[in-house]
Amino acid sequence: MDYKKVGLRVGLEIHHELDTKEKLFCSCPTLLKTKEKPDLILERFQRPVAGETGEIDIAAIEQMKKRVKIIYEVYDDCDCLIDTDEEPPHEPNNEAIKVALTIATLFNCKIVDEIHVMRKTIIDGSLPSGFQRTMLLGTNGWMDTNQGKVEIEAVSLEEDSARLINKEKNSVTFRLDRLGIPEVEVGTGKGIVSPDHAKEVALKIGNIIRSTGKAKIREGSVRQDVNISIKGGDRVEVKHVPSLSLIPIVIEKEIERQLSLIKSRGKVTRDVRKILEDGSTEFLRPLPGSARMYPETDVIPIKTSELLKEVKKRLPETWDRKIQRYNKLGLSNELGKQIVKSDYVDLFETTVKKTKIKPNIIANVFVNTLKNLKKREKIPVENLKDNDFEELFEFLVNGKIVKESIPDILSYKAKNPNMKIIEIVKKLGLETMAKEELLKIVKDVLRKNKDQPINKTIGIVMRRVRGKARSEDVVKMVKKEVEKIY
Amino acid sequence: MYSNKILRVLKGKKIKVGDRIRLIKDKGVYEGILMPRIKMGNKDSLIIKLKSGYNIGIEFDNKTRIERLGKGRKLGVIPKLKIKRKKKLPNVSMVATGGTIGTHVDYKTGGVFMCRSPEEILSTTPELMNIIDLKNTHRPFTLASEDMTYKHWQEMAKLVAKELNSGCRGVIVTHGTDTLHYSGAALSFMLRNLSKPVALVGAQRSPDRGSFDGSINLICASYFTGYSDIGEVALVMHGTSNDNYCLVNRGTRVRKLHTSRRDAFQSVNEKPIAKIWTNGKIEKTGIEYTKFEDKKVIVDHKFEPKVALLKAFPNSDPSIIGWYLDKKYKGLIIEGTGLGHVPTGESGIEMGKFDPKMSWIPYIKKAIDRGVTVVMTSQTIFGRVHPYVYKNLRLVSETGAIYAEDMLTEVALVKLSWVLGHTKKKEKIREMMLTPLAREINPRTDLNSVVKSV
Repeated sequence: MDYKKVGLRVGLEIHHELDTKEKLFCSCPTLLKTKEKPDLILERFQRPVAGETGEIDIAAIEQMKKRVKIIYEVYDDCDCLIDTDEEPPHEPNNEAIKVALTIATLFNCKIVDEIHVMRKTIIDGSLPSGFQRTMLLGTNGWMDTNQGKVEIEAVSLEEDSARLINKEKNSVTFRLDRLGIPEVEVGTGKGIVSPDHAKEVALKIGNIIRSTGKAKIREGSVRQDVNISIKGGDRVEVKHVPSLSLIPIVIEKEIERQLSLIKSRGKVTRDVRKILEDGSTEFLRPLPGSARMYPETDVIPIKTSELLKEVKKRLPETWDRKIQRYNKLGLSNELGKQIVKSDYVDLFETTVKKTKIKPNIIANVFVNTLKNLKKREKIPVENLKDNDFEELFEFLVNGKIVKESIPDILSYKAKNPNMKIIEIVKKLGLETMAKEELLKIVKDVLRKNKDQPINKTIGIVMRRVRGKARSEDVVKMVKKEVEKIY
Repeated sequence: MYSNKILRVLKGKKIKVGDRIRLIKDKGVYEGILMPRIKMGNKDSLIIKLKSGYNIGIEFDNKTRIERLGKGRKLGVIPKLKIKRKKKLPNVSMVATGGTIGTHVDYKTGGVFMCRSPEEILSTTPELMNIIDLKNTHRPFTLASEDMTYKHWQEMAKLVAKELNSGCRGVIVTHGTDTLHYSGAALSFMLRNLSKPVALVGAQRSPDRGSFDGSINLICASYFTGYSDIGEVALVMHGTSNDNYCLVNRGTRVRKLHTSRRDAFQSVNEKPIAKIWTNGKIEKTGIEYTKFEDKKVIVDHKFEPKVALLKAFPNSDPSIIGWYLDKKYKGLIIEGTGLGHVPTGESGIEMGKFDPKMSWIPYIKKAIDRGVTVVMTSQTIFGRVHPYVYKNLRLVSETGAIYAEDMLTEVALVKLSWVLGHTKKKEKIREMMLTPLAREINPRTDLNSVVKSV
């Protein structure tokens, strides 16, 4: 399809929870439900607030009679009176503001001189106050993509809403644990040219946010809304697209939907739509006019100049840059991506700096070895500590062990966290074999398997010396001995 | 207000607050409505409301270019409820005096305005029209409650009495919450012979939000004034953090016990009179109360404002009493420790460290000798004071200070002012202070007289 011809315009809004120590406007930790039962259940109602036109109609009164009861599940380890709307907000979390400023800077935004915290009216019950506190930090930004520059219209920081747990005819239940966790929102402007490009942009935005090391990685920590319109159609917002791969599908399907609507009815209504499993959508509600936002008067404006100086001193390397650097160290693109995403990226960096082991070997241990141990053998690799790896790599550098022994040692260590690496090496008999000893075995194998092809011989030796000799040494020695014979 | 530098530029470009403008600075382009400068923050930052609704501050410097794009929309419209009377419903009047319950946030500017009329307050809770027939509405003044004085109490009392005596079944007074309980006590003493419900109502959350608590307080106050058989002044406010019922707290037995919670008001030393559910169900707790009767109320608002409240605490310097004597104060409430103690220096065997000048006894004696009434209450909030249990108590009571039983400090303060407005006679003052005039004293202390358990 010629997307230019259909006049495709796509805007993404990527919401990402931040992994800060505390919530955005209080000192509660950013935990999710930690126990079976809530410590407190609250029952509230929310009211439509007085209209902007200044008129109150009787219909609104009737509506209020039918209002639903809002039930809040409150947890005392991650909620306080601010979450239950019983105390004014504290000063906004400095850590979160710095992370958001970092993100805005990585997107080349102009940073506002003064941040004004706003109240965005939302009365579905997901925020006990009836509004969401949000602040705009950066505008006029851009990012590079394979298809050219894409505008970043806005980077803002807001408090996350409560989690919807249950919905019934007359009541709705929310859990307040997630409420108040800082969340950054990145909104794109012009520049997305195709459905696939949208996917690339979403991926890159996510990677840039995560490169701060302060993005929460857990189920539900990212939400992606996609705005789509075509020539003759109108803006439609698809909420909460759950995966990157669905983004192009959603866009394709929406283009088709709008095209057929234009054909049959001549127009498209501005909807908010809900995504279904196959990437098609259904009507949720009409697209609201510009959000009703007014200042949060309980929080004073925040000057950004000093914070920004601090942030610029410590800008993180983006994932793309990091992967490029790892390429130069000899890592493949794929391995580079995997190590960047893994929890061991910092340890990888320090190990590369400290030892002479090939970065490739180190990365493979952190990515593939651990993944295999965990997935295939269900080994509790989370028991392994940073200094376990340090010790292990030291033995490898000194030739005390061979790299083939690493999975066995790590597996044993993870299951027996109290034993030292050296003890494990001894216990498993995995110290590197002396050359003479290896030679003895090679000769023995050759004697017993005279007419076997060379590869089979190597295999037999390998099995006998597993984890105690480097495979390249075995190959070399077998070949040499065979040559001697013939 | 913006800095003079900005004001000059705006004037030169004929830009007014509320206009649509474009601002260009350092390659950033910002279009939106120029907002008024709020008091906090940098006066050199222009506040712009962008199309997205966000406000941002952009510091104005030599490189900033600004241009006017056009006129914005009119700011600051407060919604009003057109009151439709339903004559079959009980008639109740309203006196609006200010406070959070009477504020309005303009959604375009975010400015906080005081409502100019009770109709504007009612716009937040239109349901009231189906519960009561709102007969008259008054707005004698609009204040944050910390600015309230006895003169305001007097005016409130007059207005309430006028409404009750002209056939109203009850009156709702909207009021800031901070000193709601002082006003509750003042009205309780000033409205003699009261036999109709008077509800004092406030809000802990502002009306701009969906979680505004004032609506439920107003709804419950409407049931209280329109339907209950209670004929007293009461504070009708949330009973819990839930939006399910309000408590009818007697005007002389209640205190604000939390800075911010919805259920900040709690009855002290006795149960509230009733619970009122949002559907109108009224549930009595069983304590005695004055029954509703259609009788005339008498306003008796004579008042002596020269009464002060002091607090005794470790290392407190009693010579402050001398200052009040110089200022010709007529009454002092001393909020003592525990059962009603002040430091005397005479309790222990080792006397060395207590400076005798820090004893309150000579100062209290001096005050009483000069004809000043001294009343002892307790800073524990809950419980009753006692003049004899310890030696230090006896030293105070021997001076002639009045031990105010289980009266709340704030209530004692208001009551003493009211009493001193009526008599100067020592024995009469003592008698009036120790006689319940508005159920402010109860010789029997309720078994549940403690702070709510956690």
